[in-house]
Amino acid sequence: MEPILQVKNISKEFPGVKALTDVSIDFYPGEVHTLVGENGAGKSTLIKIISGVYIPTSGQIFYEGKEMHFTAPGQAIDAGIAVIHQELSIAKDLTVAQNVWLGREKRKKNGLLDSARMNKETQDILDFMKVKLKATEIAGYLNAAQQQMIEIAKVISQNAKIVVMDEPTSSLSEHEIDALFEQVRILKEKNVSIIYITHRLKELTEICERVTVLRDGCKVDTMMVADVTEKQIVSSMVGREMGDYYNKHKHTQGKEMLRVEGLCRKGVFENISFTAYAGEILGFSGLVGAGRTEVMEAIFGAARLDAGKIYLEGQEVQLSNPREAIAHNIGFVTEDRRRTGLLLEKNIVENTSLPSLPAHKKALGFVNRAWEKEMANLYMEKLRVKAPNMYTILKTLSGGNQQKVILGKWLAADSNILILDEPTRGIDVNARSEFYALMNEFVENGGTIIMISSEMPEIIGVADRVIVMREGRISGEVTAEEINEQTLIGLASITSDAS
Amino acid sequence: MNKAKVKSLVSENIVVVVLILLCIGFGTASNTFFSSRNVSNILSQMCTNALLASGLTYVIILGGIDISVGSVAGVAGIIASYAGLKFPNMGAPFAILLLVVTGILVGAVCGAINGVLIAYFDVIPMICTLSTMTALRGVAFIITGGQPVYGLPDSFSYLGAKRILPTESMPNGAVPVVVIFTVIVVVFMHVLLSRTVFGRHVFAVGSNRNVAHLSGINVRRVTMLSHTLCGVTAGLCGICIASKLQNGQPNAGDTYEMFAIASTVLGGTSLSGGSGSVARAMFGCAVIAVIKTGMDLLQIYSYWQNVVIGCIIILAVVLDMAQKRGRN
Repeated sequence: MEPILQVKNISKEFPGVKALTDVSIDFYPGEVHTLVGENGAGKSTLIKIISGVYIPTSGQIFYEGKEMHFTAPGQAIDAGIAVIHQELSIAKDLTVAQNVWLGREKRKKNGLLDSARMNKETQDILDFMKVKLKATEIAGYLNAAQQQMIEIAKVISQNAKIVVMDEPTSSLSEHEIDALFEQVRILKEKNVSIIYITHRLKELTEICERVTVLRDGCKVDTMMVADVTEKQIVSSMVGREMGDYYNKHKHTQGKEMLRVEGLCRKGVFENISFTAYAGEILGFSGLVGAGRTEVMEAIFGAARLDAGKIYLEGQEVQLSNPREAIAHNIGFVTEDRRRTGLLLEKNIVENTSLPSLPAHKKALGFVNRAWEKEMANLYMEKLRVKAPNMYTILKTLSGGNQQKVILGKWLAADSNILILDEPTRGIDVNARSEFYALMNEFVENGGTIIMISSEMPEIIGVADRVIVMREGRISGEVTAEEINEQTLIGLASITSDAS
Repeated sequence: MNKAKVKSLVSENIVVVVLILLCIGFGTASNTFFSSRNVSNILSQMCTNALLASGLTYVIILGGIDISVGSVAGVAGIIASYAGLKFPNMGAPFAILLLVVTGILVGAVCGAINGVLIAYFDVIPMICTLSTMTALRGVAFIITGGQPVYGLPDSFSYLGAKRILPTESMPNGAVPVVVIFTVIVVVFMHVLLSRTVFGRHVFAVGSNRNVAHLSGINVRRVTMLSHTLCGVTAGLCGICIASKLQNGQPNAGDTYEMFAIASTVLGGTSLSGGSGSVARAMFGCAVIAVIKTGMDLLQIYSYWQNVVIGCIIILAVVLDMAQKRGRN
């Protein structure tokens, strides 16, 4: 059998980061080929190159035997390569048929829309898929699984020869996953080649023929699923050399700082109970979407809680908005610093003082400008922020320096519990190493850090204790000696023994 | 100073440059432009616009807008006039107090209505204030039955029409009282915005609501208060108009919102929120006032003046967006 798509020696470099190195994979028609690997292993970069979003730095792509040079997503779609993203791209106010033909609407000779024909063709596809949906239904009223069916109908209507599915099961229930796999089998019968990305290894045996493991931007191996076990796949996903730039310190656990009991938000997370102590870095591991961020937002008062209790140093507290959490000396370094962490158009002084201005205001509500300058100066020096001066606008700083300013802002607010959500994302190695040193210093002075990280080596290299979450629940807790990749990946992704 | 610094200094203070160029232009085209009488006229005409712009700056920094300010001014002027009728023998100090208190109260109530709808019911500011603009104008006509409120004592006009500090060329006084009043309000609004914690929170909410919320700022309260302040300055604008005319007109303040928004945007306050300054908005007001009086002096038909002002707003917004794009 001839491969329909071949990527050969593909490399992709971004400024400062090598995302893919010399990756070659063959994809065959009528097969499901799964890409697995940790976050940051290069899966998304690879599918973005295949679908024309990124142009590779070097290497070639052969499609049906011919070399292709996609420079825009439209070209890949025209050639027959379709992508179903994890975040579905459905226009909620349009009907199923309107979504299926979006951007490719059929017209009558007079130039007006041929709705009748589009509805009929959509209905034919839905019937072929054996899906109980009407072409004229409004997409917004359908659930996630049904909306996914619209995406698949769209792919069929495009006569796509290659379909990329990025974590299609991440928001589906077991029952809905079965229905999705049924569609995958139908696509296979149509001789479509499917490139499938998942973190759930047990799905491999159900629908996949081949699996390619990526690690740190390199291909580890391509294997026939029938020939390997889940354990073998896991062990080829891990096994990287760990640099000592984490500079792991062993901390001594102090008194209880934060304890939560039975936290629950319907449909997002349930029965979350844990304790964080002074003088430790508590890691939160798990897959993206496991509910870790949502739990922390709820503790910080930024998101609703349906049930559960929060205790600070043994006292029960109600944290119904971030103001109250800040008043209790909790700081929250969010995952997306550009969107939720920083005032990008404002300077270092204004960003540093923001949460603590009210506590330090002068008479009549005037800003204490001497104090805020002192704080900005202090934390620029202490955290070694590289900037021309304290009036530098934040967006001109590098990611690492921006992150230090955020850290400074919470230190200036006298935080003694810091929640860090993916704190080193998009930061280069040197800045990371500095950031870890600052984290160590903070806990050695009696602070508590709760760190969410999806990067295994980071969790292993930094945390004293790790709680793993899976699908909105805590699936395990791992302490010092037992923290290793096998255990963490096992707790985060292997669901076979649980179900 | 190097070339880049000069360039950024000019582009940051473009409104000042424009103001100077306009003054030179009109000054050479008309020999009465720089007369003390004309300068004094420009200043007193600026006042109503300056009051509106000082409050509008807050809501525009939040990323919102308030187009109901003209109608709020109308309602405040009418209510102040009815209040004035009750005291036919009042003296000037009492009249000023009456006007100011009425202006603040009526303005605060109207602004708070906008504020509650926008902050707590999440109504889009444009739609919300478009509705209150229409409704409040209706209220002004209902209260008055469409007729102006006449018969106010002379003391009522002290705030809006009186001049003090007479000079040889201007025996009736060189400095209009309304200018002094406006300066006091504008300075207050400027200091509140640039020096207080509340002002800093306005900028934070306008820059990024999520970040502001996660930094412990009560975003709804800041939004609500900003709209209330904007209403207060509109109310004060309204009582100045009523005082100047010595009567209450139901259509007073009509279309003033456009000039005030134009001034604010010309002053460099970004319509997408996050940055701006009351002081700079005053330069915007000066530009608008200079253009209007300059065109009057050159006897340009007043309908054309509207076309010119409209074009200036578009130009200012296009420049603002272009600058944003350049920065990203």
